[in-house]
Amino acid sequence: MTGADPAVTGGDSGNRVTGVADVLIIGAGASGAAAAWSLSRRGLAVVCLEQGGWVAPESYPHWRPDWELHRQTDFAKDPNVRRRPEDYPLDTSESPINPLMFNAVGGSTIHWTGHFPRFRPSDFRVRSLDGVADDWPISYWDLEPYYEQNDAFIGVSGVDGDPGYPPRSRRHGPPFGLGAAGDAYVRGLEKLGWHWWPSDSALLTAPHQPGRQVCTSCGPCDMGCPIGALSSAQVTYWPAAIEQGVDLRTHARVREITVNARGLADGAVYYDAEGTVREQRARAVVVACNGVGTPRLLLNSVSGRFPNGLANSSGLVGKNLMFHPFGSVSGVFYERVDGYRGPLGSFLYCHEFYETDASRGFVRGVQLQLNRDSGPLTAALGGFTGHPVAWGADHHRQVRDRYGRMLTIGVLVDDLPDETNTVTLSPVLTDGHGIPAPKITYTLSENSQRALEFGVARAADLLEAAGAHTVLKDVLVRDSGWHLMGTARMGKDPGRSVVDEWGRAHDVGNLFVVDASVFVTGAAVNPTTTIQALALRTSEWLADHFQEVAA
Amino acid sequence: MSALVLTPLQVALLAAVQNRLIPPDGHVPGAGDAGCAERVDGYLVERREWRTELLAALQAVDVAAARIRESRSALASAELEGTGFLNLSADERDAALTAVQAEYPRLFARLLRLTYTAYYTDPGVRSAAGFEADPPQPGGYGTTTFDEARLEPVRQRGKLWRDA
Repeated sequence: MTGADPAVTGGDSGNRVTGVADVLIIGAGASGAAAAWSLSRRGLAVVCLEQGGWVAPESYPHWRPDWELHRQTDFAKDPNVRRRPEDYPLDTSESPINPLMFNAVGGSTIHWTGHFPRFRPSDFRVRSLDGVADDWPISYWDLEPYYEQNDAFIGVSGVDGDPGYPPRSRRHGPPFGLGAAGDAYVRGLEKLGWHWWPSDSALLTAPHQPGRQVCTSCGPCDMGCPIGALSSAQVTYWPAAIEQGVDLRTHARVREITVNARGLADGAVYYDAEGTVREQRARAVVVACNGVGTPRLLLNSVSGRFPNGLANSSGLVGKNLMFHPFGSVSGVFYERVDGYRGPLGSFLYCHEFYETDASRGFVRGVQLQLNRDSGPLTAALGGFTGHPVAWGADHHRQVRDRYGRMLTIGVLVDDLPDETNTVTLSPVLTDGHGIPAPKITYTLSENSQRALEFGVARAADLLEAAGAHTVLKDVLVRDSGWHLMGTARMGKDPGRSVVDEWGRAHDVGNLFVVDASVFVTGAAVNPTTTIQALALRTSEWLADHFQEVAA
Repeated sequence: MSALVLTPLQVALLAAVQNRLIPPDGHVPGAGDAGCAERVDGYLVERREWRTELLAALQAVDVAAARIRESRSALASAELEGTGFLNLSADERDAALTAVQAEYPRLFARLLRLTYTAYYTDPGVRSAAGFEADPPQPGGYGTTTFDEARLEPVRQRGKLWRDA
């Protein structure tokens, strides 16, 4: 890594913007990093406030013999389990899915498998094509140049030419070899005649960017990457953004966005690393706190002019929360498939069932993400399906039968927006600074339930065709809320959306949202490449129009 | 290692329980013999929710053991003294654990999860069992080359996406 010394947790960027910043970005994850890079390259003075610190490469669990313990403790994906000082609690008592996130420079791209599929064109037109939810105010083709820009910047591996997508440019590095795991999957896929393709992967298979190594296939990307092969935002955009002068302040937790007499955003109040209340003024504000953190911050930013939260005249801030409801299906094989050797979740995918087919009993589609598995503890605990091996006399045989012999398919479904699925402020729960914490209220829709059941059944078909003798299932995995979307949706009608097609708040002309809160619908693919493409598009527009929109 | 959260008696009980959950298998040690009770005790220092559940699980084991002991008193097995789990035969210990699993599935799941975690995160155990003993880094497992010819049947299907 370059730029700030990442070995110093809590280290700032070394840059200092004095006085009023041109742009204040809140959040240093996937979208905040891309925005910081894009805005600063246009010469704007940018401050970014991040509630977490840098994660030092040597602090990752990958180097430690008890690495699988850390999945359950200080590197757990659920902030309610991890409970680092920079995490905030979430009330999930009324949701069957736990939101997952990581709070640090790089955000949740630290806890990330790097599976990097784009949305398809149809994902932006679900009302027109399938008669449900709403169309996006932009098309795939509006976003396509920014997908390309993002891919080129971070270095995506894979193969162009997937007939499931419009053409895309040659990928930076080759895809990962199939190995025993891929051979098993492709055996099943060819038997069934189903679509498959090597994933667009945010993992380096060819050199790119200083300080980053090429992937060594060590496996547990879900706990981050200590060698910089995974394109987490702290090793892609941040070094360049800092080089361009961005003032990144870590352990800086924002309490509220402030507004001036004209109703424009003029900065934020935050707690610094010592807990002192600080104020940062800015001429424009960009919110990049994820689909839970962003509505939480907007709802906490109450003023006389905005009594129901900032940018919330539509009442839609915090509503239409979407996840990708996620099923997990593991197959156990007689032969070794080397399930722990290679990237866990950025390998192959199957989009045979991606587009709507009404005969299936639901609209929209399903992605089968063809993953590997993990170490001996994961095998003993039941892979990623929660079916632990038996205790007692037969224990050792059962673990031997699973370890290195399991593959797991992740089933992602397109979760359509519903105003009753919400992020609100908890009346009782607060974070370490006393700021009201979010409460998640979510019910799985009948359409998503049907799609999940269908996808899980197809995943089982595939594993059996591939030769699995035993199939384990978890139809709705509780710890699967990686993708947090829809809670400050984009649209042309200020009565039915929070931001416009450029991510600009309808109510506050110099306030922008760049994370997945702006998603109108969620597609059935992992969202990060779309998040970053949108952040680049919004940032370019803001830079182009800065003088006319800034306070 | 001295006890941290658990008493020495509780550590001994936990080790005995763990040797039934993951018994020895040839040269592969049982979980209690491999020091998993002490390691779990270490986890409990940081993790209060695990502490509560594990202590309750151990209590449930004691109660189940006492019940089994009472039920066999009529058989006058005088050679086994005391009422606790440690005084039960191997089969009786398994019966006590089966009863706890049925009656308190959540507590038992925590006991099992902590035992499996302590056991399989020990590189000595992994090595004895024939599993990868080294952590994922440094080095990883190396990469292989992708053969693009494998994609030809998929390419030949033609366009699969909808215009929009």
